[in-house]
Amino acid sequence: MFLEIILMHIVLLRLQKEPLRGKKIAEVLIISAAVFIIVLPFQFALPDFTRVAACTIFVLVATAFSFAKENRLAQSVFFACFANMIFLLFAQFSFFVMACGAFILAGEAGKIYENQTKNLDEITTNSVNLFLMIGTGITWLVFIALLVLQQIAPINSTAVIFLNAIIFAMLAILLLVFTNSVRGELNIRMKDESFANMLNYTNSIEKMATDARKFRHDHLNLLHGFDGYFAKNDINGLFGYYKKYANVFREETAKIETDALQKINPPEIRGVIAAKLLSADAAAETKIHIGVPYEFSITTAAFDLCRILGILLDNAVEACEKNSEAVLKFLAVKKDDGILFVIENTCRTTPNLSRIFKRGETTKKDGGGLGLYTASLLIEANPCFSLTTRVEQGFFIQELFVKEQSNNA
Amino acid sequence: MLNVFICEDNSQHRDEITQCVKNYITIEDLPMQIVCSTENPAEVLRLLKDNQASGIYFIDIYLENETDGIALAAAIREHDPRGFIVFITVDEGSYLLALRYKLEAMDYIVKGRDNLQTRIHECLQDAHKKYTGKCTPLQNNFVFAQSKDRVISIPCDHILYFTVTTPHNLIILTAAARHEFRYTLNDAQKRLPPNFIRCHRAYIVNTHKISALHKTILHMENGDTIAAAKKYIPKIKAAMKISQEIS
Repeated sequence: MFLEIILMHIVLLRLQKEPLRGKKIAEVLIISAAVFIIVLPFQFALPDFTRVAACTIFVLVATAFSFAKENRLAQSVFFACFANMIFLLFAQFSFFVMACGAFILAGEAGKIYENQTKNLDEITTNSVNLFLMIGTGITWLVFIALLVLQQIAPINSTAVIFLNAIIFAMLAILLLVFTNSVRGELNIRMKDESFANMLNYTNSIEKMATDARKFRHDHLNLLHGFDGYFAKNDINGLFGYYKKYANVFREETAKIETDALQKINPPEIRGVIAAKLLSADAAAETKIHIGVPYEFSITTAAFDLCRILGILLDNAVEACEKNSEAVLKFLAVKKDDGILFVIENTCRTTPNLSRIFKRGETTKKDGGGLGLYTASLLIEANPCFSLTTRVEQGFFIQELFVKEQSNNA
Repeated sequence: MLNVFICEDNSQHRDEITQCVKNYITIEDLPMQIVCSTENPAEVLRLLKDNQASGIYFIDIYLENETDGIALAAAIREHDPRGFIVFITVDEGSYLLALRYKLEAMDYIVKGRDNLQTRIHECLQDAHKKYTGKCTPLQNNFVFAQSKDRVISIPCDHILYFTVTTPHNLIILTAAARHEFRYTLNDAQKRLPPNFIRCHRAYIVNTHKISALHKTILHMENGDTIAAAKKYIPKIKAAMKISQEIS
């Protein structure tokens, strides 16, 4: 039985993709021994029913702890107990194999969730967690019911195996279905988001086109005005007229040049950047510099990149709105093995750099403090991102480097 | 020894810059020498080929030549990847800002807007500090490469602490910057001087930057607090004592 616990443990560790090295092996042995010692008295000293109850309570506590703390040790204890219980109570090898199979399935499904849920927002993550907890709960209940049933009215053992097999199969199918639905939802969300970005971009461009038309119209009117003064030969009047309007037009033409953004590919990333920068341009008296010297296209983690850039730009734009003489700089530069995005905005106070990335921390009055926290989660999940945040000479600078990953590597 | 190269096509400006650099080197007695002051980029490249030492390059972006300042800077980067490039230009455009990142230029000076003399002095001083910083072992830097042509170097004296959110996601915190990238604490520890101590599973602190210690809570100079594991406390206390004696 001891060997069996160790085996289960190793299976579990492999599931978590932990390398088996000296320290880990010792840990496994110690934990297994501990579990063995805890469970052993139950096996001999107590009647079957009490044993089940004690084991169950123990396992439930471990489960609750492991979910609450995401503690690997508690999880290990939990799985080891689980395997042990099955083996103890049914003493049949087929169960053990089935249990292993189910765990591998559940582990794979769990890994898929993990990858996918990192992309989803808070609410969805919570619902996935809830589902997992309920799923585990139901499985446990069924298990215990079965055990109790067997104690009260012993059933033919093949029937029990059969029932268990059905339960595991159902659980596996349920997990697969749920995974697929999560994936589907995520795809829809991604498309929604990039569509919304493109829509914003198009709207901004339309607005610019309207502005341009208006400008042309005004320009013609202005020329007609000159005609009038020329006809009267009124130089002083002409001078005053010119002075009055020249400023207006200078302001009009000082709009940002979004054509630099044409060099950024794919369009959804260009869309995010353009939409945010144009909103800053429309909202306040912010001076915007855009620098994109070379054309590039980035395919690595494009969706996450969109989200991070969106968050960083939103923050920069908001910071600029409060400030009357704000400057916002956006630069995108192609480096040897990746792209460097630099977002700079003027800032008056120096924020605490470690605190602003924590959840719930905010420098805004009514902000949720989730933006940078989400960004740091996304950076953490993708090895290709690295972020440098600096405060230098009155500028708050975010440098996001995206390492390009070739598809064949 | 740092070599100074000046490439500017306006002879009046060139003389002004050269004179300014020469004066400053003499007054401050810096280990630098002007190797060339020319209007021809090819001259700079020719000298670079048989030059081993690192250099400071003052380059005019708009050169009246086949190779303009940008191409010259790119060529310099190939020969001398750690050299200091300073652009001199007439206007400050976004394009220039981006180029600064592309070529990892140290600074740029805008003619007319900036006070040429003070800016050149600042650049020389800065380059000298960085260059000597690279050589002396006490002031070593924590260096990591994000890309072949983007290397970030942080002086260890500036670092407050290292932390990880997942085992492979390292965050370095200094007073004015925060760097987040792929690395592990164990690998970082191997490259750090002894005043950096692992105080927790997820933290390495610079013991020179601890302002106070209350039980197991470390208060850092920027106001952050770090929980230390009990078993490391004696080691941290000892290190803090040593650092106080030094200062």
